[in-house]
Amino acid sequence: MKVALIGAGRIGQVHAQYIREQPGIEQLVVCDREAGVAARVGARFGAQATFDDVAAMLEAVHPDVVHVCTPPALHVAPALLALEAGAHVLVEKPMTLDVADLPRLEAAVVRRPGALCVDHNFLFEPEMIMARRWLQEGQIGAVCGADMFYGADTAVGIAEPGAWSRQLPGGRFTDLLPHAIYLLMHVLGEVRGVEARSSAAGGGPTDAATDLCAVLDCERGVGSIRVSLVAIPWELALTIRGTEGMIRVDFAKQTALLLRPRLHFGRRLAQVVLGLDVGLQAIRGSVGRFWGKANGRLRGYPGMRTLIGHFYRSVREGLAPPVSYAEGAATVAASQRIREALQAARTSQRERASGEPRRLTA
Amino acid sequence: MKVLVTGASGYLGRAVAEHLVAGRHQVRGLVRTPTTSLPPGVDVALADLTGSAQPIAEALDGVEAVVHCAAHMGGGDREIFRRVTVHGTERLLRLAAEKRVRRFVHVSSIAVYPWKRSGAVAAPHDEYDIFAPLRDHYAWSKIEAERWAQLYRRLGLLDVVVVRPGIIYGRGRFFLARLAKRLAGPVHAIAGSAHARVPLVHLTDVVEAIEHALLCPHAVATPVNVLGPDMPTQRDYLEARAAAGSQRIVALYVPLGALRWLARRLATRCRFGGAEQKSLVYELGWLAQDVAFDLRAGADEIGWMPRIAVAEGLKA
Repeated sequence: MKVALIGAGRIGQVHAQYIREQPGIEQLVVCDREAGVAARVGARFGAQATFDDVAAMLEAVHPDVVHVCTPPALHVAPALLALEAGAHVLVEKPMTLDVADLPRLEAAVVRRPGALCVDHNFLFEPEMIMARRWLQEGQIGAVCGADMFYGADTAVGIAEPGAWSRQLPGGRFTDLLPHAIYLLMHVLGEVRGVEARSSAAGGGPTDAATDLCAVLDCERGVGSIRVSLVAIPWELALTIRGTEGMIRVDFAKQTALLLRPRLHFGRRLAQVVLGLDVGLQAIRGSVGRFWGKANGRLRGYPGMRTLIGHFYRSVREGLAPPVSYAEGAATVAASQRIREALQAARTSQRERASGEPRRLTA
Repeated sequence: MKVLVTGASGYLGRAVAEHLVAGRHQVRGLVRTPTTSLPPGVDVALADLTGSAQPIAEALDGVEAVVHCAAHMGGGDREIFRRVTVHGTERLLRLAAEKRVRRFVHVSSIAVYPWKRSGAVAAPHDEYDIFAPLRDHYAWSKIEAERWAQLYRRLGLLDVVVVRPGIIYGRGRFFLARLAKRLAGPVHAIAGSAHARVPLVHLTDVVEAIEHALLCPHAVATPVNVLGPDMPTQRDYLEARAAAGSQRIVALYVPLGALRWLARRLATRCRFGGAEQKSLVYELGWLAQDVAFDLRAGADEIGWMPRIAVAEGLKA
């Protein structure tokens, strides 16, 4: 199998590492518009060739698989070229920045429905797989809602953004929101309506918002997303609420907790048992995390490793991709609706502010 | 309506073809080899879903709807299930989309559901078993085939309706248990609890559900669980079977609770993406489950309700 990596930045190098773990890779080539970066990353991961032009690379190599790891604004063009060249494509999130870009991509996908996969890697993090297992087992009954918090704490240097992320329409939120959206949609179904507000820490101008809160009316319940660029401690968590219990997935600590009161014990005893159960799970989770870090299974991006493994299996065995174009498109659409809702809220806030009578001060 | 029925010489496909002919539809039956077992009034189209695309495309000429019943049901390794059930379905979907078929009824199975704790409800929007590679070849192939069908639906390439029948019985096929072994005379070892519910559905109910899915005027995004109006326990079912005149069975129930626990441990280990091979433990854990099924999509989406209770179905 011949594989091409387009975009050799930070996340591209993570892809390269996991590509190398896949069986049957005959050739890896690296393509980056900066030839020096392509050469350096290519040398690090043992690439057979490096390129600084996508079309020339596709023409010369005819890859079976292409990873598109360029900044979001540059996903569509290389993905289209790769699809037209007959490759299977794994594109980083967000698949596109704007719904206006979707029709071109969709036209290519319709001709080869299984050829495009989107890197919604958090769905495959070990702690999220645990949560999905509990959901599929019916451990929390019927799901009635979910809340997602996504903190990007630049102050302590975690999740340091690329320079491009500040230039996106909607700023850094546009880069961070897709994770929260696809996780929420996975639990609650497609988004039907959106309300959103933003604010700046310390009451600064909302044009320089640091916090965002969105309420998503989904097929199977209402979900909320809160994204903060400044909140400390850094946290990345999904809470799923059901009629018989709750699941809390902590992506930062790589743990998942199942809170399921055993009400047949009686209310008071159920609380005690639940407390013990949660304590035991927390200890097990901490030990498992320590062990996972020690043996390497929880180092780096384990979800991306799993997703890339599933993607390559789907290519080898002719299966549907683990995350399809349709899911990527639904995420892009929901992200845009949140941006539009924010814009509408800001406009309305400005109109209200300008209509208010001025206060006289003594 | 002109309908192509795949697997038309099989147990379900034949019944579907017969029912549609009786309903004055024009039916073309897709079969791999010349056969005399098709019902009267059904045109024969010879094509193999794993072979050349040309005969399949010709079979789809002028067709308004497809009922896809074909799947590999026998033994063999994962490769044969992949080739027939998964790739065969994808190929048929692609060609049907190219021919602009108006409705595609994909006959899936309740095997696509994951293992659930006792008393849980399997609802249509539940995720497929995320540990599908651990399942037996048939279940794995039905999951992968349905994922293709859903992908074509979500991309708007085909108006796909997915129906998921339970264990089909009736008209000469009588079910004993999900997993049973005859020990001596009427004595059988049966895996699982006597109180576990058995998801049975009579062939007539399945055929009627497929007809509703075929004729439903609007798009149906929700998969439809197709099960009988009652879900007897394994013990009640064997009693009903004896009452209907079948041989009396002396059942020795083999509890599988420990296997369920082992299956969960195995799934926990596979959360790092290591699930590649089928696992007997995981499969037995799945077989030993006792779940209910949400049947609302039948009535709400395609206007179908099951009619034939087990006691009645066993007599028919």
